[in-house]
Amino acid sequence: MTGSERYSRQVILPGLGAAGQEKLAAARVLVVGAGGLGCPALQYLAAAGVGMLGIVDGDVVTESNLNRQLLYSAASIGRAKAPEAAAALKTLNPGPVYQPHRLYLGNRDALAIIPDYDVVIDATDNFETRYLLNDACVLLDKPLVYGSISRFEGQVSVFNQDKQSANYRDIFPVPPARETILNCAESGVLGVLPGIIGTMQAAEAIKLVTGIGRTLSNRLVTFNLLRQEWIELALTPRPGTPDLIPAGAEAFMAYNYRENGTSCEPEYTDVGPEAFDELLASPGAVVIDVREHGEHPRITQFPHVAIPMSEIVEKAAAYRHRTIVLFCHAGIRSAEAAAFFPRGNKVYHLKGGIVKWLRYHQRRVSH
Amino acid sequence: MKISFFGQLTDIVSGSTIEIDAVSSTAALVEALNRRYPAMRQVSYAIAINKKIVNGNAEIVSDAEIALLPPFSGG
Repeated sequence: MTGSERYSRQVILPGLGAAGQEKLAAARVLVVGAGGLGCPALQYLAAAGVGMLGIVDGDVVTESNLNRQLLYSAASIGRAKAPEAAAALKTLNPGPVYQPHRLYLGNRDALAIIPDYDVVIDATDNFETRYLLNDACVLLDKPLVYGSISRFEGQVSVFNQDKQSANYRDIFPVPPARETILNCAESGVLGVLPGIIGTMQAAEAIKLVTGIGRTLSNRLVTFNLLRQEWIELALTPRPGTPDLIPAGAEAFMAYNYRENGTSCEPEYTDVGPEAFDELLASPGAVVIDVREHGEHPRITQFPHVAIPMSEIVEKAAAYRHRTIVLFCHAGIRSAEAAAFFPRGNKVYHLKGGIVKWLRYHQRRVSH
Repeated sequence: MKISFFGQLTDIVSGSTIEIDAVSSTAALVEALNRRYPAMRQVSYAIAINKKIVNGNAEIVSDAEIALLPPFSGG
């Protein structure tokens, strides 16, 4: 297969060659989301002769998809995307193995499916799955080719290529508040934009597999279609990022990536001093001291508001769809306070309290 | 000091760049932006100084090129 006429134009490329084609034929690439980004990525990867392509999508094709999701035709409307994409790709190139997964990726699916692949492509359209996929790829040591779009702009990067690589949380440590997000249905999209960004993702996946060129690891590229402008930004791993990512399979399974989960348990995330500092610097976060008025030590090192536990019940309701960062003396009350904030907030609390935070900074100064 | 905005942040500041008085840290930058554009308090974004995404409270040297990027969810 690798010697066939089909791939002759890429096999003659310097650097790629028959060896590169064999790597492609042996590669397994998982594309999560078979929509605006996923369709072009899948088309080019299938055409390039990637040995196995996994396709994850739980959605069905709608007429409004057809301006940009070119794997589908008018006859596809109402059909499930994953098998429909697999069938279309089979006619494009019958060589590769296509593995459709008709589901919306959940924690369990991520741990079950991702280990079977060498490279993962984030072609999703929501923050819940983006964070889930990012954390799963960190946990499972898989390179993740990231792409996203908004109106006439796109972002592309390669995360987690190796131990020195940045990941999504090094750029955006925590998901934004829900009400500030526009999706394609609300914000509109011109078909060529995901075509360009999804094709860039396919290119990065091919580079990861074959080892040619230099990937976008530790670089984020942003594209503006109206200005026809590409801007490259350097990325570095943050010291606090590992604290934000579930440390093992068990913690990952317990992590709720869906803000509107059905769980009645209070939803909050424990953070240590390092991650706390990251949150202090994250724009839009509300930092709240839940100790009673007059408690020591007084904190002047960072801006915050004081809402003692005795007032938290009545005052918490005023905070909707915000990132809330709670602290108290030792971390007991702040964990309790987390339960009083309305669903839709991202709530963090400083484990070990301000005492631990102060000790952490003293240690850093004395070194 | 020139600040560039990406994505929907351009809606808040009504354009892709603005000029502000020089600031020396990202914390001061965030504060200045929040004062001038209260809607900036509601949104998440990453800050790049001289084409490098920074974390924590980073120093801003004079003549630095600042860019603010929101996360995009679409796909």
